[in-house]
Amino acid sequence: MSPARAALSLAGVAKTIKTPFSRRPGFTVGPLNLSISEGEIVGLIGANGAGKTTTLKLLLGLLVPDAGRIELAGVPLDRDSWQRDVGYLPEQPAFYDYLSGREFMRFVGDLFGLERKTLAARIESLLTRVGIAESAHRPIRTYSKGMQQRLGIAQALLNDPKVLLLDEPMSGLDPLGRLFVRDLLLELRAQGKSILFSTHVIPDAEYVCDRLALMKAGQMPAVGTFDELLGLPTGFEIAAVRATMPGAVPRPGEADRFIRRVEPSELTRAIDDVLSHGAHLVSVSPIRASVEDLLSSSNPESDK
Amino acid sequence: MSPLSSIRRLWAVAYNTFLESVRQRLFFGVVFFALLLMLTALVLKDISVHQDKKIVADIGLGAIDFFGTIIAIFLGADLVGRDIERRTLHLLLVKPLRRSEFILGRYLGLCLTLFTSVVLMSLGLAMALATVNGDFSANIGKAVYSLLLQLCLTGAIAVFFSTTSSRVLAILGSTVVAVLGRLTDVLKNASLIIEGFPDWLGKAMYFSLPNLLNFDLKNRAIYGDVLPGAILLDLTFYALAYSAALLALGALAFRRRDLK
Amino acid sequence: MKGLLALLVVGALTVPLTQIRIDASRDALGPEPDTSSVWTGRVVRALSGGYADLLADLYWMRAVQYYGRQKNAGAGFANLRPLLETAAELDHRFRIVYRYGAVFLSEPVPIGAGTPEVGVRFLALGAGRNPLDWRMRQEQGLFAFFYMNDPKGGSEILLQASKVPGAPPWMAALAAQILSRGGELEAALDMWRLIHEQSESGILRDNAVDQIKIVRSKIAARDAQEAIRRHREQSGGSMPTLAQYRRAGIIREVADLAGIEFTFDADTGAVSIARSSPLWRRN
Repeated sequence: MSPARAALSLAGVAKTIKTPFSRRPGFTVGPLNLSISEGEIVGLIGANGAGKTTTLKLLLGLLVPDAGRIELAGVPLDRDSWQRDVGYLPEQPAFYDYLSGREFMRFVGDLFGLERKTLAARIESLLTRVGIAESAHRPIRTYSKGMQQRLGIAQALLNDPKVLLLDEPMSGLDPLGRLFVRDLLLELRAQGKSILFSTHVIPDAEYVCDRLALMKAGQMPAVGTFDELLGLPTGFEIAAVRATMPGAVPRPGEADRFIRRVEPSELTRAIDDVLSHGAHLVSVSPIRASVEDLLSSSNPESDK
Repeated sequence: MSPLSSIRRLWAVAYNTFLESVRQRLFFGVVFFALLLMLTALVLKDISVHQDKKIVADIGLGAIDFFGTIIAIFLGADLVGRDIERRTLHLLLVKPLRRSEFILGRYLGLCLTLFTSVVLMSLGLAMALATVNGDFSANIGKAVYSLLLQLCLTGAIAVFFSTTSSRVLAILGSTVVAVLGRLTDVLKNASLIIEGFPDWLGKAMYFSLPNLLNFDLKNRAIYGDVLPGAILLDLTFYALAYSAALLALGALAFRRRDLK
Repeated sequence: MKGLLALLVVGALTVPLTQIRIDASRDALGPEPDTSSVWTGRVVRALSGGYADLLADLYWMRAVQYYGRQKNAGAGFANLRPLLETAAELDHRFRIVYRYGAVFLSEPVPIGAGTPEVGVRFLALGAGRNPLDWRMRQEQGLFAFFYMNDPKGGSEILLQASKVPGAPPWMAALAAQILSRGGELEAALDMWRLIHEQSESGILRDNAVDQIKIVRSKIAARDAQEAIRRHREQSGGSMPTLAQYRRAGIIREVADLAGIEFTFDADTGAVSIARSSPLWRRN
């Protein structure tokens, strides 16, 4: 962790959520420890019910922690000014659906006290960026789930936040939409924004995240880069088309595709080999434990 | 955060609340029924033996009171709870919007809604009165203003319950308090009516419950009594003070409420 | 779906049929006693929660409907008083309830309840609750006179009414007139003298002067008539003219204060102010 001020940090944060009038012990989250730097994307990974949403809500003050300290953009959570630097997209965002998309953005902008002209320009640019500018005059209740998700992203960006907290940002989106969000996240990172987003779809995280924070049963058993968590690849699997690829076997079910497993040290030579035989390279995949494995293992690695 | 930006946020929430309320079927339905009732008054007057103006005024003011109360309770009790249930609040509270600003803004929006409904119903009353050659006198105007204060106070009761409980409980709680608030003269003298009822308890209830009967100037207005401005000023202060206390209490309770 | 429709139809048909049965069995039990419920006016008022005026209107309309229905059926007015009292309790200033209500209560059966004392008391209640309403007191006074044949009581009430601020100046005159018409002339004379003293010069004072003359003349006529009656009893005979009675020293006055001779009926011995006199008033 760099000594520079973290954009987001949790230290010893814990919360027990009880159903009132119930004798059941309740669901405990934490103690959680996590730090995110500027210009970093961290994925909060876990199965449904692992506590990802609860963690985000604790970060945003929607739930009051029983213990621990939270800082957003360097400001402790119980001060008033952190909201200006934070953008939040909840899971399945709910809007005032009798308002149009534009009206809703204006309402949010009023809450930020943004100057009218700046606000208007920014609204239009964001609505265009997320691709719903043409429907912005219609009431939100006429929007599809994907459109509502895009609007949610737009409102999260309205105040040009330094830190973004996104709960399942890809949910409800078709493949093009998911691609759009991924590209957007990378773009935002390039602008120096810090992003924490939760998902239970691991490939989404793998594509954009610098680090992962695993959540399981309310605990955060592991935080680190892919390499740190999963270890370095024990090998690589090269897939190619139409091989006369030495040492290759056909991929199960795919007569034209062939795969070959090689040691990490042999990777470059193997690729040259494949290409020199006139085959087309399809993919190169590391062989290592998967995140799914990590999540389902009974002995999670400790935080590195 | 400057006061000006706070006002802007309050207005944003208030106006949004107003739009939401007046686009609801409940609002229109209630106003419609009130106006319908005023039409009924025109029929009833014929069987009342030359009391047409009085009856039309009584029914009109009674309708504003009753239906306004329904709007105040049913819309007010929903104002916070529904946002929590639908999770629209989750989006809003991570903006620079204090929870207390949200509650106050919602309440102001409700007051705006109540004002609109009272104006509409008053227009209906004025038209009904004109039909029987009565007029919407300054006194009736004062009685209507007083009713508006009462409705805003009732709305504050409902918003308070909305911050602390679910929608159903909020409606129930508000209704109970609103009914008790109309029986304050009975409560005050409960020790005379009910054997063994401690006098101090009756008086305590009288001073602590919202005394909605304070705002009932209907009889005085209809009989043309002088209603000095000082009375209206006192009533305004009472409504403001009580509402402020309720909203503050609600905001305090809401501060630490978990939004699941 | 079909099952639900069937249920709906069966239910819809059953309801009116069952209602007919219920009505029949209820009739078989005999008529319900015409009791007023425990909801006395004060209880209703206490629970009215700010809707007292509206409820007053409703009770008043009920009273009117009840009066009309019972009158047509010739069925008596047992519930009339509680309905009126409740309406008046809900709105103390509901004048028409006292006024018309008193009529309904005071008119003789079968037009009304035939309870004038209740009617007058009801008006007294209204007058007490509305001390500045001289009209209420006026009604009360007139009712005492008309329905209870109590000119003295009525006149006293009217005099009270005349003292209410805003009462018209002729109210006291009315009080005195009632006394006079009721036969208590000395009291009327006193009242007119009082009025004469209290009135400023002008129409009222002049009227008082006239009325004093009338009453004094009436007193004179009455005294003369009384003296003649005594004489006829004692002597067994009668004289044909007033002048003869005066000459005989039996009476003192033969004319009213306008100087016009009284009318004398020699057969009955009645003495009254002559029709031709300016002091004559149709009774």
